[in-house]
Amino acid sequence: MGSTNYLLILWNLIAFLLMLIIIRYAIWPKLFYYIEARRKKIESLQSSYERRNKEILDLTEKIKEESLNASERRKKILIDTKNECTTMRKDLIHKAHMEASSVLDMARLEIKKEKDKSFQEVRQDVSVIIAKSIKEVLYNIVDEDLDKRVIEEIKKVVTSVE
Amino acid sequence: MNKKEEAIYYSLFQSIVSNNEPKATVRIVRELYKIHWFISDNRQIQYYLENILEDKKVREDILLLTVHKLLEDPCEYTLAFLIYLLRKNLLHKLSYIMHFFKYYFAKERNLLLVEVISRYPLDEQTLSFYKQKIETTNKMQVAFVHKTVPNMLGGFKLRWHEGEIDATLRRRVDKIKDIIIQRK
Repeated sequence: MGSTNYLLILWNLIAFLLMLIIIRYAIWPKLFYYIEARRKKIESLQSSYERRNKEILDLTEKIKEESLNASERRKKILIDTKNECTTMRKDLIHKAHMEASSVLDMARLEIKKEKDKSFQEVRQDVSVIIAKSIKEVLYNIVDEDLDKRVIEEIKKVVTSVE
Repeated sequence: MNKKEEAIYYSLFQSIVSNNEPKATVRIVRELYKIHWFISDNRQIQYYLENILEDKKVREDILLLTVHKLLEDPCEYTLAFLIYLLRKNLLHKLSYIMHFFKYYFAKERNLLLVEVISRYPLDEQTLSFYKQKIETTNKMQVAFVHKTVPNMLGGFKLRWHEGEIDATLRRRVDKIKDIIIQRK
């Protein structure tokens, strides 16, 4: 038990060194390649993730900003629309008033016209009746003497005008 | 009017004027006017006189009867003129010829024929004022031709070839009518 088996130790050492050499030249390069590839993949994924993340952050910022702008715009549009509606309402009311007053004026004018027309017609009828009556009366009362007197009167009027 | 017609009428008027004194000419004109107005007012007589299908002799008889009924002593020139028109089938133009008479006298004889239309006959004294006025204005001698219209109200109307004076009662009444209508 107390004796040391140096040969076994040697063989173990040789086996170990052989295994090291095999691992170094046969397995390690492939393993390193896979590890490196994975590392690169992870790195690219990470950078992509960061980029995306940044984009998302930017987008979020933009959306926030847009949302703020939209809100502002909405407020502005609402105010504008309200103002426009108020102006339009005022215009419409003014226009309606104008139209109503115009219609009223027209109606008044039409009524006045009709009234004048009626008066004119009545006046015309009355004048025709009066003229006919006068003519009828005159025809019956004018005799030769009266006719001469009328002619003398007309002559006097003509002379006075001259 | 064409020149041929004008020449015919002018020669007719000239023959009347040259063969008569101015007074006699005016008398002929007055007679012609009287007959013209009578024929115009009586459609039936006008129809017979102007109907060329009727016998000329019959038409002449009607014309002479009418003339003698209207005028006590008609001038032979009046008769000759009317018979000439009837024989030449020109009697339907009498109204036009009388109208042309006025122009002829005004242009050729310096005589203004003024129609006096009234309800009752008017004497020369009443019209002397107007005669003087017309003569002064137109620088022509004036001869009145009287026409009485019984349908008139009163007053009178003087009418010549290019003017008139309306002094009728009807005009005055119409003025009243206008005043009522225009509310003056």
